[in-house]
Amino acid sequence: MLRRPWAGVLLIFVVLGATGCTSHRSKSAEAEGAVRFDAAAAAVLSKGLGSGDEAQVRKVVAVPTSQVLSPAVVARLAALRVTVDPASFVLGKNGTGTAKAKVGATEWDVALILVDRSWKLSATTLATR
Amino acid sequence: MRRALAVAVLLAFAVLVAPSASAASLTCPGQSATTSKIAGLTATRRPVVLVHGWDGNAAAMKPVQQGLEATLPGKLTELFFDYAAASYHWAAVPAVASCLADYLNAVSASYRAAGGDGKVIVVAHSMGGLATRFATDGAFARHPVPAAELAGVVTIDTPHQGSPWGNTALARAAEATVGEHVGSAMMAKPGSDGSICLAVHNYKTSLPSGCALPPYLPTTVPVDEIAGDVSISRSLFGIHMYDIGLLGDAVVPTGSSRGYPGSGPGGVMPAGTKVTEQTVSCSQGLDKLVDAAVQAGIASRSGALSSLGAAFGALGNALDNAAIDQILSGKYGKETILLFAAGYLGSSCSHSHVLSYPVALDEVAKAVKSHLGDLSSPCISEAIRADLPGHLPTKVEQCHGDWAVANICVPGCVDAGRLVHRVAGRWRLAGAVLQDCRETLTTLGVPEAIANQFGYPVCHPAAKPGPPCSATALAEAIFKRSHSVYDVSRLACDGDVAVGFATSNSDADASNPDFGYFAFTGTEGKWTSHNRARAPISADNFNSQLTPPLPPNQIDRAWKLQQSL
Repeated sequence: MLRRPWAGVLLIFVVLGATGCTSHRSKSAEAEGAVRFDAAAAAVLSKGLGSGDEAQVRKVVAVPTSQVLSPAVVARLAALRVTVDPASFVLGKNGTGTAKAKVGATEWDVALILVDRSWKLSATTLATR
Repeated sequence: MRRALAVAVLLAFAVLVAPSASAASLTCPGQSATTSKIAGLTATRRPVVLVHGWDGNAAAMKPVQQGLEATLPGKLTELFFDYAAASYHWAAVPAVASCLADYLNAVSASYRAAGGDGKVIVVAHSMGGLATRFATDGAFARHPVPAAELAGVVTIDTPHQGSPWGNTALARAAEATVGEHVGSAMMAKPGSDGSICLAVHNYKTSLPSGCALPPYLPTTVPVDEIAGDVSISRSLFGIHMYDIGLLGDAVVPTGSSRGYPGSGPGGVMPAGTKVTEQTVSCSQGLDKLVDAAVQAGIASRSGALSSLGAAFGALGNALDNAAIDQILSGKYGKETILLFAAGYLGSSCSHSHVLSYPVALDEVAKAVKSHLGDLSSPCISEAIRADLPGHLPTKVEQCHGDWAVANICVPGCVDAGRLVHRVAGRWRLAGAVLQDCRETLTTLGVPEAIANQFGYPVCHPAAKPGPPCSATALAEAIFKRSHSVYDVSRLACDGDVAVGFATSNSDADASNPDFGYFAFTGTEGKWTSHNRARAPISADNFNSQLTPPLPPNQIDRAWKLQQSL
């Protein structure tokens, strides 16, 4: 419909940037300054992803409780051997952050979100582009 | 801003409530510049009129035109209807609906003048589909498009039942806020009647006051609905976890783009309308969405990753009607909106990208192909068939102007060519064409100039002087070929062609005399015999029995002579 389709998206980013973008904001805002993503937090992520247990995966990946995670997905995540580099962590706004991670020799950018004072993985993209 | 908005809405309503009054002085802005000139139509190419959507222009439809040409080369003449100058208005306003009707009528007339059947296919994106519906109704168009002019209407992501982005607080805020940030030209005019009337409407929700409901198309016009369906693939480290479906193209829900049957007055489509639905789906990963945001310059890479990641974290794969209701009520979650926006921006089958999405273009081509009709001959045989009820299926061989030669088998007849003539718009039988000869046409009344266009040979040249026409001379010719003596009892000559009935009179054959019709051709003062036919029943049958057969341009004359004996 729009002649400039990205204009509407600009608005979304403007709005989100100004007012926060997740439903977890109220819980995380207070903790934002205090909870850093350190080596221990990175280790928790790696351990949870590699656990092969759905409950443990849910503790480290931001997934709605109503969303089904198949056993195959849990098993494939367990086989990855993910290491997240805490030194690369950059704190964002509203309880978000980004960091670098490696799976084997492949480097990834990961998005993190602070939920109840714990960092969870929310998204990943290949870093080498 | 609020006052200006109110004024704009009032103006829009003023236009909407009195469409016929303003139609008298209607001009069609935009057409002269970018709407295709109606020229070069030929009967062998079905006209397809491409109609863009709200706040769009003809350029948006270019990929559709290119896709059709690639898939159906030589079958179509694509024309663009551009109403860009009025495209932020609701599809019902005269500058859209009535102008589109005039354009379609003009295309149809030109196509008919070129020898076609006058039927046009419309391929419309988004609100263009609604404009087409309004164009067929006399309440909205000065000269509504009659059903007979439409071979089919293909709608792509048309909001038959509206869009959650129409007439919502979000849409109005977007118009105002984005206008402030990037300039008003980037968005539709705030409060435009187009954005208001594109609101969701269905059996339980009416359109806003002042917005005319799109009428149903005539029942004989088939409708093909093509709906984009975006889903976003959520994965971690390349492992796909699940898809988040947006239940539509990020602007129009699939229930709306496939919602023609329940979208018109009364909510029930008239019986008999043929409607097909095709959903084209695409799944887009986060990488593409992030790239799109970065390339558009609206977020940094890390910013886009963080924002979308947060949205992913909050949303499962079941964006159901509750999400739509959120938008309608103004209580939308920002994660929902973000995901819709990203899906719109980065998905290959989203509302705007669907026009260049190969799967969608394939579906458009299939739909258009289904409405092509018979273009295998210069005439449209359906037109002839429709006007000659009671005849078996027609295969049109050639058509020039109001004259055609077709294979028409009247029950009980031998399949043969017939000349048909269009008089006052109706095709009528004008005579049998036993030979594809120019003279056959002219003797049946075809003007010479048109008869020449059929390219038939001149079968009956002016008769050249032949040898003396006598029984003796013909009997000598028979003897020369067969070395048998015949008596020629009956004969007829026409210049250099002759036919005689002869009987063998040799003693050896006395108990079983041979007889038959012999043809003769005269060259250099002598007859040459073509032996012989016992009981010819037609020109072709006569010639097939002769040895050797006659030259093509002498068959008819010989047959006439035989008939005269």
